[in-house]
Amino acid sequence: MSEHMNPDPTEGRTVETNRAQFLGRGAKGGLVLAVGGLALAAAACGDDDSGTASSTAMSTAAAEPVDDIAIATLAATAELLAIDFYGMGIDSGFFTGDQLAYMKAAQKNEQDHYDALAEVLGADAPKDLTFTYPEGTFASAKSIATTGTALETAFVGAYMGAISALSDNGLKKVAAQIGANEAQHLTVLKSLGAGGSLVPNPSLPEVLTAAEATAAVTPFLG
Amino acid sequence: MTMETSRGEFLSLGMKGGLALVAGGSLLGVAAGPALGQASGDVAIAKLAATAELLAIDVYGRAIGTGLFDGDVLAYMEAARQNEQDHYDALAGVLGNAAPKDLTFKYPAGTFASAKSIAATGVALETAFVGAYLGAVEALESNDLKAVAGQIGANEAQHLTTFKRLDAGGTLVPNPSFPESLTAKQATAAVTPFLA
Repeated sequence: MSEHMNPDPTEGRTVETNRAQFLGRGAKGGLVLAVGGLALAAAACGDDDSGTASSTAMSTAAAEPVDDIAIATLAATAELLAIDFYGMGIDSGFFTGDQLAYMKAAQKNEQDHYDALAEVLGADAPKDLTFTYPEGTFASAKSIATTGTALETAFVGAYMGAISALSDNGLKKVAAQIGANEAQHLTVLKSLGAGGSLVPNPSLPEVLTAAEATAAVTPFLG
Repeated sequence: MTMETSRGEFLSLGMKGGLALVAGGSLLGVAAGPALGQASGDVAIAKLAATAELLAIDVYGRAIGTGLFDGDVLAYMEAARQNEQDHYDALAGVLGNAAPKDLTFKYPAGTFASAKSIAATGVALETAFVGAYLGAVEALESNDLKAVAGQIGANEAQHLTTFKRLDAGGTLVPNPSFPESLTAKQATAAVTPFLA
């Protein structure tokens, strides 16, 4: 990793993650884009983990600033992409009723992740990013579901990989929590893509490497 | 040796080992890597895991057998049962003769009386499974097993969201941003009523 890819939390500077930096981190750092909510989740999970998760995130950042801060920064970027995608899906007007409610709830899931992550990162949190989508992505409910399935598949796979890649045991659990939540989004999007029919899942969700996850998400980075 | 896991042994392991009952499929991953060379705690998880998988297989099998499901819902239930069977098969392969087998389970009256009652039971069980797997990610010693527990937890989370949808009459039900993590004690308490 180049030094500017590993923000030192003690510097207190604002990091503007651009596309090149993002891809460089994903490919070289062993850190996946979709480890997204990790730091975030660490901040948010205090209530169901005896109040230790938040402190875990903070202590991890202090003890191992390079890896964990890098993951948190990438995480926030991934969450922003997810928030943007669900927002575009909602605004398309193709979803109503329980489907619209689910899309809004999923967007809120991602927003919760980002908010907690941004709180951990402070001024270092990526923000004001823009994303691009292939032509026709939001042309129909089915195309949205198809794109969402691709994104969530990458997110789930990346989170699964992050469980073993992370060094902090508390964060490993948080990665599992986020991965499970993304897996739920995935199975719903697969169903929407199938016109509402239930779609079976593999017994063990695929695990992606950082390079694979990055490759899956690269087309969406502006 | 052949191990016949009794209800008492099962609960004892769950309560004392700090290992969640539904750390179930963890050993699945062990099949592809070092398993029984792990700490004794991880081996205990494997035995508990196989028991939990048997319970899950039994639930899905009974649900399918009711005839209350058809079409894509039936196909999903059959696939979910296969998910659990895959977990058990891999686990049993690791444990060999030590794998629990021929266990029986009991269910509250009316559990399989309707699609809704089955879905409600499925929600309760899968919630416990997900929470326990998430707890297992933290509790396990083997890093490889942690990853596998995470995978199984994600798969169970998918089952859970589908059961919640069925319980709501087909309507999509939002999920919490961070699925709850259960302790071994909490997970054991949730599943205990089903052990004969």
